[in-house]
Amino acid sequence: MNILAVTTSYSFELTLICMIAASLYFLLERYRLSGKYKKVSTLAFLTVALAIVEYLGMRDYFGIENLSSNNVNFPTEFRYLTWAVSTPLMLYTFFVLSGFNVIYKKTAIATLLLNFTMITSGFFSEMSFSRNLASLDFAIIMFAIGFSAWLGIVYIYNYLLPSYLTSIKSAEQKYLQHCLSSLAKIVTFGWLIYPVGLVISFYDPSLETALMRELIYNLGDLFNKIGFVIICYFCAIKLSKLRN
Amino acid sequence: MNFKTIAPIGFLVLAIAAIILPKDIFTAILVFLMILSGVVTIFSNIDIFGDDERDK
Repeated sequence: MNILAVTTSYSFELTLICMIAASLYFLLERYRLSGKYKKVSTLAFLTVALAIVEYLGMRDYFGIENLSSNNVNFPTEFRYLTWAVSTPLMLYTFFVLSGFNVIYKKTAIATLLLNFTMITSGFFSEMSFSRNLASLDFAIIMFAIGFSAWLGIVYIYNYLLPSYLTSIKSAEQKYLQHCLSSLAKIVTFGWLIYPVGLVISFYDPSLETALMRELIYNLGDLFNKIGFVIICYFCAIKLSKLRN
Repeated sequence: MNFKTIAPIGFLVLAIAAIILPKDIFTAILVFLMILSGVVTIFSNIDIFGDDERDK
């Protein structure tokens, strides 16, 4: 056990307490939103609250006992379970915020399907590679499918949704555009950490790299999850004020 | 191009560098800068204090 292993272990704790703080914040500050935007607070709360449950599991799984053993195990299953539940909620939050979940229902469904493809393919790719359950070719094909699905989400958030925003009233449009540009950056750059981390592990399966990857994934989860929903939440506050 | 604009890209680049490069004290600096980039990315977009000031 070295300092990197201990730091990685504590990064689970750090992400967990930040998720708890964020979920309480979304609950306690809910009164600042008008009736139309209360659903944004609910989705934001669910995103981080469900992550809390999984992070509790991951923290216990990645404890001192695991780190002291000769064969360190990584909580890949827990991580993908969290993503399977929280990422669709995150992506859908903007659709609810902008009202696109009603006007552009097909785009919302396409986004959720792409997200589901991305997570399940990534899961099979990582599991088959890390646990030696299938050949490397299978892992790479699954990775390619998941990566293509992610590119689809990037296209929707960077090109399709901004084009939809032109049909919205000017006062609301300004806030939604600002919010969407920030979310697009998170989806594009923040989420790219995960496929890159997986590709690196294909070529460098050492323990040190795997530990650092877990640490980066935890920090990535912290900023990507909380960041995404808090930006939506603050946009909802501004839109609520506009309505009042 | 200011720091706020490049913060999300910096977050990604620093994360990749921290995974790839040899793990030493320099890695700790990279992770610290990565956390800083993440904080800047979020706080530059939510305008948490400015909003309250405008209300007053």
